[in-house]
Amino acid sequence: MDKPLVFRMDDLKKLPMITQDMTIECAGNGRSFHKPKASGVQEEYGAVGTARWRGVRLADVLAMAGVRPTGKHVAFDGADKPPTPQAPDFIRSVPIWKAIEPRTMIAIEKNGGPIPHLHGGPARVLVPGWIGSASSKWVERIMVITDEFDGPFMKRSYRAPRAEDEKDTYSLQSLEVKSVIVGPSDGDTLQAGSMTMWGWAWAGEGELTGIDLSTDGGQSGKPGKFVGQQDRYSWRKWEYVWEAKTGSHTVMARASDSLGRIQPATRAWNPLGYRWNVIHAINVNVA
Amino acid sequence: MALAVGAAAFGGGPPYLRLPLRFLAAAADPIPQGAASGLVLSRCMICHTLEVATQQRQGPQGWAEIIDRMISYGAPIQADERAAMIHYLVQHFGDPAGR
Repeated sequence: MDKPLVFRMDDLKKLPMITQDMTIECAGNGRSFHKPKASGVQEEYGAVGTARWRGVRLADVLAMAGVRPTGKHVAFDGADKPPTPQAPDFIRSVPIWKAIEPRTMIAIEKNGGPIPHLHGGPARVLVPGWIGSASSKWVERIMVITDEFDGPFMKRSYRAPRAEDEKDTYSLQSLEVKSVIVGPSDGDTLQAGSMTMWGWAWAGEGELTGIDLSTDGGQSGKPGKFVGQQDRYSWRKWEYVWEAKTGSHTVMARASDSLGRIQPATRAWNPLGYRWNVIHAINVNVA
Repeated sequence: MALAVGAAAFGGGPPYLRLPLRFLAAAADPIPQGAASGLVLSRCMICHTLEVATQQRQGPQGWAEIIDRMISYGAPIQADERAAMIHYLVQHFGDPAGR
């Protein structure tokens, strides 16, 4: 950087503000479904959410500090510190092209109010469409560096194998294309007749192009429809009207996106249990 | 100080604190009693909640990798304690299909 700067909250508030609805999903959402069990917090479906964030463009802040041509990555350090001197500080970086993307921001508001402490307040980074850990909480220090940050949260964690070789890994960036069925719930007993199923779908750097539903365990499928406005980087609600007939049914949802990605039927095991976007299936009884 | 209190509460503190608080911990049965259950409580919870450890299911290699990483992060675990903890964790929080 040409001139390192210090920003206080009042300084940030004087800069132009942007507002962005954004879905944040943990890279390990769904980890518990990997077999054998992968190491890490055993998340199922719930490590994802969407909120309306307001803040300043990271690009504006970086421009004020003057990024040199050699600056290729931007690293973030938060106020969270490791519990022992030997444990690594949580520092992660993103490439400069993503850091200056117009919707990458330093957020200071969530859903119209101050960001709650657990969600990274008073100020956090938001890297839209990327795995949650890119969006560093409690941001205190932003560094422009020449290479991907050399620390375990870039070089060991948040990486997945490219193919079969477990050692040949890449750093995770965009979220996968994914959908979940919210209503009905797994195990529900329903009344026969017309009912509207619904859920959410999201696609990270992709844009959703379709949602297909199956009510016979994947033997056949029909398109559902997205409802409401499409908003890049925010999940989208989908609905499907089902004429439910008596019996047991396995209901499945499968999203696809503009990058040509379709939710898969399986996902290769990886040591830290990432990339779980396997087609969501639930079982319901129609009485 | 908060960390010291947490460790003391599960056996890592001075002897005069250890007995009654250990008794309380046992009464709540946070994890199955075993040769190394006290070690797991006292060493792991210095830095994180018990659930972070007990929700895992790993085989011997998987648990060894986790324990070794925690040692590299400064967890105060001696060599004999390491072996006992891995044995206990595989026994009670193992994954038959795991590494």
